[in-house]
Amino acid sequence: MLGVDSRRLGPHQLSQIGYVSENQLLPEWMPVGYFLSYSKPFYPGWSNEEAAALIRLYDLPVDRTIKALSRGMRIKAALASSLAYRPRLIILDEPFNGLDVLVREQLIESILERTSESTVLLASHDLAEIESFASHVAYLDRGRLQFVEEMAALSDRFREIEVTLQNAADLPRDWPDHWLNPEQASVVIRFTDSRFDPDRSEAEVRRLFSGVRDIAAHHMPLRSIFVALAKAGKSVR
Amino acid sequence: MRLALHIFRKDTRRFWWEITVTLGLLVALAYMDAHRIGFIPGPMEGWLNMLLPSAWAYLVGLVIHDEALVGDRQFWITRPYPGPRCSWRKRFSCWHSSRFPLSPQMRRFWQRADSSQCAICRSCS
Repeated sequence: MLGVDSRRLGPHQLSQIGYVSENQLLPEWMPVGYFLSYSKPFYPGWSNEEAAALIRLYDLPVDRTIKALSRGMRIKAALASSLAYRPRLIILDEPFNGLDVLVREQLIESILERTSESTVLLASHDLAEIESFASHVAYLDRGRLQFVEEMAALSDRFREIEVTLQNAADLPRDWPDHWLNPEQASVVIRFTDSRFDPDRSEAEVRRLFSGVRDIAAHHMPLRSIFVALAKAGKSVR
Repeated sequence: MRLALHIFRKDTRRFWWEITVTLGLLVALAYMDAHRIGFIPGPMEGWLNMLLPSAWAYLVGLVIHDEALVGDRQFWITRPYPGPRCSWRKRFSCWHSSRFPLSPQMRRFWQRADSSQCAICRSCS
């Protein structure tokens, strides 16, 4: 992390990392204003102007204790304390769970506006939300990193293929590994191609199936890709 | 050191009520001690002598347990303040919270010891 083994991070690296988690313990007794001024001396890059701007943007009640804040306000306070020093890396662990759509949009916009030169690492189960702004996606399965890939490349290489045959036929024995989750209903066969290429995929389908009447390749949203991967239960790099 | 004092100020602000009560007990004990006639304390002073260390212990416990230093959800997990120094900072807070009230009491104790020694010397001579 920032060129250092994450188990050996020191104050210098940590002062460049922002961390906001849904489960993070905050000093509940502190008023929001005091919480921000308390955080300030730990970060050499702290900007009072930035902190004031975030307080205005999030409409944070500076006199109210963190304990008395709603969940959305608590996340906003944690974000304000993490964005005010312009960290190089921001780690967000399920920060938007349980927040309404407007608050989510506001938080995402504010993060993106302030992190043009930073890396934002967001862990989330809400894939539709990630899809709207992520540039890279990493897939963890049971604690193991399966792949890291650019969002556009991932989106390009996954397609749901629907093959319509003239007559019903069994699935071929030499079924390719990168065709996931095959389903058959009479003359229609569906599967997920994890290495889609328009020309090569069509040629491969025509080679494996005889009497192909139609081939359709449907774009897959991130959620469908991850469902397909989870069902297949294997790495498809 | 600057950050340690910053955190100490925060702890003082957090536990001002408990600190005030502890200091109140100390003042009461010091008053009784100063106005006592003879070497043996009265029942109230005896109770305070027991209560005050308990109050210190309670205060130390509060400071230690107010912010966890272990676990994956704790406040300090990504703060730029090293873990070992955090535990030293807690010790610093504990040391201060006990040393501050202890000093005048120890001085008073030595004064009493001196005066009783003098009384023993006088009676011997």
